Amino acid sequence: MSGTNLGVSGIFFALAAWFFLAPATDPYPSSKPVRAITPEDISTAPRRVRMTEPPGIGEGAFRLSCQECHKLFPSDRDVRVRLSQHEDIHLNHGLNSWCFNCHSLEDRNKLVLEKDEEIGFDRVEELCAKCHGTVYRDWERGMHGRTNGYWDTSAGEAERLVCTQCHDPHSPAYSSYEPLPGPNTLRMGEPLQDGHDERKRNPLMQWRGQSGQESGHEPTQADHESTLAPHSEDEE
Amino acid sequence: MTEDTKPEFAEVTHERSFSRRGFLRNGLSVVGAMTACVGALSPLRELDGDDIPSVEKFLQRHYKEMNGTEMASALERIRREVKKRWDIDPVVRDVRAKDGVEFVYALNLSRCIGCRKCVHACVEENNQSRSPEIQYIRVLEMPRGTTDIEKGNHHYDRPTVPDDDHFYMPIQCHQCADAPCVKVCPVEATWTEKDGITVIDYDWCIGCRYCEAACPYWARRFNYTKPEIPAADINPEMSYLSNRPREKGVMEKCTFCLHRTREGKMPACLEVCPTGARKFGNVLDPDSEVSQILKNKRVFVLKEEVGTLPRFFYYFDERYPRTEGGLDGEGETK
Amino acid sequence: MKEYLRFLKRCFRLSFIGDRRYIAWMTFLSIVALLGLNAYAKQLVFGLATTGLTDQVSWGLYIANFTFLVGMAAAAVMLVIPVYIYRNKELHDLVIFGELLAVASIIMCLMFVVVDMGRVDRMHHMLLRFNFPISMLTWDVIVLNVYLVLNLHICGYLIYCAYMHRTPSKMFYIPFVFMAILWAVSIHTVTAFLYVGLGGRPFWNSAIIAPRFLASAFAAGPAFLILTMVALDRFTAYIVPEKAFLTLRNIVTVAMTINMFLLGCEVFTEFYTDSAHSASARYLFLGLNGYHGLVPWIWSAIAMNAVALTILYLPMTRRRGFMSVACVLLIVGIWIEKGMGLIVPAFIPTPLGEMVEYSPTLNETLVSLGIWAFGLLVYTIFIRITVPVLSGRLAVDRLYLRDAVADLPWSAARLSETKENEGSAS
Repeated sequence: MSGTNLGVSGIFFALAAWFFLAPATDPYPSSKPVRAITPEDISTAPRRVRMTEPPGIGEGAFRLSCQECHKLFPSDRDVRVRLSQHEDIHLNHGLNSWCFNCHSLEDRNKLVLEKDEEIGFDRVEELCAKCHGTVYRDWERGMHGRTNGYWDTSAGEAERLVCTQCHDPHSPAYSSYEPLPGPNTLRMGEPLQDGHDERKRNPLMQWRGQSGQESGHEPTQADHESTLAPHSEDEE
Repeated sequence: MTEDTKPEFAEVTHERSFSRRGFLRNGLSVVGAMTACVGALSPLRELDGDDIPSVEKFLQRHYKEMNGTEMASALERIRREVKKRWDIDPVVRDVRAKDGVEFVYALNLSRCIGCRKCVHACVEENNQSRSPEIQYIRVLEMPRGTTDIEKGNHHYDRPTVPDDDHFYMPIQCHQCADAPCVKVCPVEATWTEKDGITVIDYDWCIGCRYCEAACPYWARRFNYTKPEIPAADINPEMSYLSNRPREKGVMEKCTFCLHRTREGKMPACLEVCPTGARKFGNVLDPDSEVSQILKNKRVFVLKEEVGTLPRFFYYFDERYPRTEGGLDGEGETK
Repeated sequence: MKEYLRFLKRCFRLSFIGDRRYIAWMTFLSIVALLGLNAYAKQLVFGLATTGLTDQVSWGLYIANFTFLVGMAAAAVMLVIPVYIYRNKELHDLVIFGELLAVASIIMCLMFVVVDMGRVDRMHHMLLRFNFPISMLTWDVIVLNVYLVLNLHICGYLIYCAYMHRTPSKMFYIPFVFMAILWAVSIHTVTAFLYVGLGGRPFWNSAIIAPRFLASAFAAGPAFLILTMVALDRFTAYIVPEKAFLTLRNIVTVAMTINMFLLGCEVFTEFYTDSAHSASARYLFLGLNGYHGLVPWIWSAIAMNAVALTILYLPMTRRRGFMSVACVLLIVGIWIEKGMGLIVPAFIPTPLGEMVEYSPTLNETLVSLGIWAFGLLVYTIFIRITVPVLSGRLAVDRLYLRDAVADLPWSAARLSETKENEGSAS
């Protein structure tokens, strides 16, 4: 019996030694952020600066507003091409292909509403409302556009952003962003593949054939470019 | 009547064990076993002070039961812990719900471009663990033609978003009016406050993860290990129920940034959203943005059939988000 | 009281005494239990990240074992029905073994729940703020603990009465026995309702879960009891009546048949409808979106159950060998079915459709094995005490503890005893 006794106690002491000597370090992997998120990544600033007066050239005492130059030469009502002085402006505003739909012919410091009523650059939302009435209606109630600051206006200011603080009036389509890093959990699954299961189960995909193709429309160069091009105000 | 008299059957060898001497001989194995027991527990020497609760913390009562003094000392304790761990001076408050306020969140799916700024703004605001990385908001890249969230892609990684064939659906805690997580918690560590937010008392949660299993939107997160946050990334504006740093072994989730929203501010995810897809406010105020949205837009909720009555509404305006042009195949100029 | 303490002291000393096989078995179990304790200490230090659990799959091996063991605990009391309701006196002693199995199983269940908790230091919160009756987990806490106390009382009382050569007073145990029958059904139903009530998990949100639980439990529990009795018959002087084996075998066969039928019901409902709600079932049985981690598990479980059931129907299981094999197959099959086949698939895919698979880590497995070893240790000690008491060798008037080991094979005392028995008519 003592033999068994010694054997058993030997095993236990050996086990105890192993427990004490084994390192109790953390061998378990943990997820680490893919990249550091900079303050610019999550900046709350509006995308564009709001203009309350026409952009001029020059500064201080030498500032010239738009009309200062434009009063010197007549405007051609029919012009629909970009002039040499404004090469940075690309007009890509859908059906709105005429500068003077928005800008006043007589006074370049002003914008025009219907019936040639002139308004300043500080009321630009009314200009947009001229054609985008439904969007303006939504914007007025806060259903469109950004509202930052306070939801409780009794506690602080609600900062309502105006149209041009998000949309470039000459190319208003919202440009793309580079997405920030995705989920990074302890264990990750692979991204969902657009395989059979997927297509069978998505009712719309049944009728659209290959994913990425519109129904009744061959994929064109423009379609490919729209997904791959970096964000910039490119022409077609 | 004692048991240490000499045994009668001498040839039975294990008789020795019945005498006291025999028992002591057995004792060697017992001592060995006890040493092994202590050895087995030796990893506990690595437990640091944070893991072993102080007496004050151990005896701390549930949030709903604490009076002013107890809450003040709890907040002071949290301040001390944060100071000790990260050497910063936080402002820890207990921000309570206001009367006449019920929060609703609305999200315009025609505007969300899937940039994930909301995800990371939330991480920054709410002192979430960076390693392992916990994110309350999960943005799904949904194929067109479906609103079934099980078809979303979580791990999209395109050079630019939005992609023309998808729309984007961020999902976070919906603060349900009939929350399954609140129903199942055995210790009432999570409950719905009067302004609608479902909150967690991090000092009361026992970490059973029943709520995580119950949530139909996968909105709750668990701290499987000690959360790591770099000191430079700590947000020092903290509140007891929302963004104070959590510990290992407790649940956490989106709280609609109650430390901000209960004071009238917008939540962090909304502040950073570049397209204004997110809308937040008091639904009891008929002029608020969210009231207008609920009245005028075609809102819907996710997994409506489960009956959770979420406070998070999604809606589309006219089409899916896109970057260029008009309707398919038309409208390009010059 | 003094007598009771003395009884406990004698039991304690008796559990350290035995022949080589006993010592080897107990040492082995102790080692595994200590390894489990060590792994749990590591888990306490580093958190549940030492397991394979994630936010996506937040319940795994621990809860799987818990679910299986609740079933075992419930079914162990199944012997009570033939004995007390049908007055089958021969099986009387086996009720005690069944209830001791229930006690050991419940202890294991409670341990599994404790190791699964994120904050064990806050367990007292359950006493201070109890979300009863809305949270099913609170029901589970109550029923499991009451069941434990109930069975401890019944066994403890009957064993102590046998030790003291007293006839047990019916008032002290018959009502509890009947309560235990009802309670056995309730513990398992409540555990099933934990899962069934969650609308966000359609794999669980089905009425068939609770009946399946009961059916598979009533197959696995008695099967384990059969194995225990085979061991008893082989290693101790206790002779188990053949009737016991046959009764239990019949219970297992019927329960397993019902279980297979319910499996068929479940499979049909999921796969014929083929809605999005059957994603988890599809993942489990066929694989989904390229993930098929559980497919070999579930099919081998079904195969094992089918083979076991077939063997049980055949007359060959009158022989111990075949019956044991059938029981082992059945227990393993039901363990897989209830554990990996019920708990884990409900989390895959997540409610948002993400596919993240689960596999337990070494630490997690060690903790689970440690708890199993501890439970078996406890059960072995229970049997170590009960058999001598029931055979009269450990009794208040038996002064020498050595008499209690007289039931060990090959001991001189047993040999002389058997000679005596053979001499007199038996």
